[in-house]
Amino acid sequence: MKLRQLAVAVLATCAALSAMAQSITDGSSNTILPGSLTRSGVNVTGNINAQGTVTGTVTQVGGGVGNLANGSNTPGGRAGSTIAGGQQVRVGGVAGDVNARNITATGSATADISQTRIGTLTGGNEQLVAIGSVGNTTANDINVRGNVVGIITQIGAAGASGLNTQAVEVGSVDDTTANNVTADGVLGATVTQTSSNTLSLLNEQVVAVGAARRVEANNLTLKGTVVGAITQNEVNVGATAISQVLNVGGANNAVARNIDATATVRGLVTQVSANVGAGGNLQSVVVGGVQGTRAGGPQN
Amino acid sequence: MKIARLAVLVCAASACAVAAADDKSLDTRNITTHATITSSITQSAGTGAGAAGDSKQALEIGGVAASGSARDVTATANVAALVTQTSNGRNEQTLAIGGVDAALSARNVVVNGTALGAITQSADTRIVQRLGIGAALGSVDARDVIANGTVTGVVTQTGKGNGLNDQQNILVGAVKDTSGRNLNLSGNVTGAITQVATSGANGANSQDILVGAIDNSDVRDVTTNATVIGLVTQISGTGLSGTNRQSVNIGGVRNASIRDASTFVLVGGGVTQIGPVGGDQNRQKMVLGGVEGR
Repeated sequence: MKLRQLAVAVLATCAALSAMAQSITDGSSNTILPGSLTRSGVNVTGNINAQGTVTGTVTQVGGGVGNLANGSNTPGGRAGSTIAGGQQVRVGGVAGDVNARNITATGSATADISQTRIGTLTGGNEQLVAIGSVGNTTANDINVRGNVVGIITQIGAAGASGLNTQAVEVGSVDDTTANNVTADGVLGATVTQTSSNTLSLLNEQVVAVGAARRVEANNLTLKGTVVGAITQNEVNVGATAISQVLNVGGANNAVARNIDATATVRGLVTQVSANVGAGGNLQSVVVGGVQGTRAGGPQN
Repeated sequence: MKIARLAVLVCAASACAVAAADDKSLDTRNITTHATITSSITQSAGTGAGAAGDSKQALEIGGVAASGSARDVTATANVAALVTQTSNGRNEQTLAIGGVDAALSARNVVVNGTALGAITQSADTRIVQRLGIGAALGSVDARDVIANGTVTGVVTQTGKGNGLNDQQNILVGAVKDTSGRNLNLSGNVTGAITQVATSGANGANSQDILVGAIDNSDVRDVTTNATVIGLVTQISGTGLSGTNRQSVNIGGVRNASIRDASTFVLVGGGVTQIGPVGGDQNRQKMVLGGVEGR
């Protein structure tokens, strides 16, 4: 009798892990947490032209003891995140419950941007660098362009860590509904994401260059160019449901009628998931491709 | 009995003095201010215990810090000197250089501020610090707002104590808590702006730096133009802390209801945020020419 109960418990656990892994096979969670798309924020009814240029250094240092729930209070980074806090750098671009007619966003970074969070116990933390990108927005036409020549570094390390996100977006669109979307991203430098934890659960690393994620549009025109190097490192002891997502000029978990995806990669792209005791983890790379995307709709 | 009456009288007089300092209500047509400072101005206080805001240091250099209504407001100030506010007690420090810091209703508001010298606010315990250079804050309601701010000197806010709701605000050519129709904002920083908050046990503290930017406002059309070639730094070196917030907004739009927005930003200097060593829900945010929600 006890053996039968044990077998049932093991099967149930396996089924749960399988479902968890399946839910992230498209490179992103389909679950949008409550509030992420309805939170009051910027209420825009007209046109937005947002331009930002960074030629100096940008540095954010956080972390500490018992450092919890320091995630995004502004949708646009890891969509669905509803927790307050985090480290965010937005150069040009738009995010946060914006409903506009036309959006033109241009961002350029020619210097170094670094985010560091080191703690003993961290959870629900977010690190976001968005250059000329749009997130959590509804508009008719969206035209984004991002250009990075500087070095972008994100480091997160903790004794115990969960639900942490590291995201770099260059000329990309995330969590957005629009009629026409044109995204153009150029990465001419180095992007490095490193996450090292003793216990790690549901952490995510995302790099998007001229890409679209969780976007619903009629026409989606994407162009991503990587001349530099992109490296994602997950080094953990005890890691579960860790995802590494890299999208260059591609569509990921999008709904669109017409998709035109173009990508050029002339640099090094590396994903390392060196975990001890790992399970249900994901590594996803899209280069000028379409993944988890439903083409052909909407029709209007 | 006499001593008790004397104490009552002293308390009443003290209360009247504080009330008189706050009771600045306007009902006028046009306000035009113009100030140029080339010498030093110092406010120093060594107040005792009390709630934050019990004591106040207010300094208006070509600034308007009176609530009420007016038709046209033009405030201009140029500071090429040392301006210092220091306090050893719980305090509220406000400093307006060619700006508005009040609940003011007007048709047109034009604020111009230039800081070439060293501008300093420092307090040892619980603090509320507001420093505006060509800025509008404090619930301004106007049709058109033009704000121009320039910092080529050194602007510093330091707070040290055990505050639970400390606030540090520096606005350069920026607006906050404003209702209006057309806003044109311009901020330039070639000097250094620094906010430092150190405490043994802090919580729910905030540090805000706005340059040619808008925050928490309801307007129609916004145009921002911001250039930072100098250094912008925020440091929150607290012991036990929680829900601390650091925000740098350069030429950006945040927490606003708008129709059209146009931003143009160049950041050529260094922008740094160093957070507390502990605490939950801490937030470090930089908006550099972006448009963002809450």
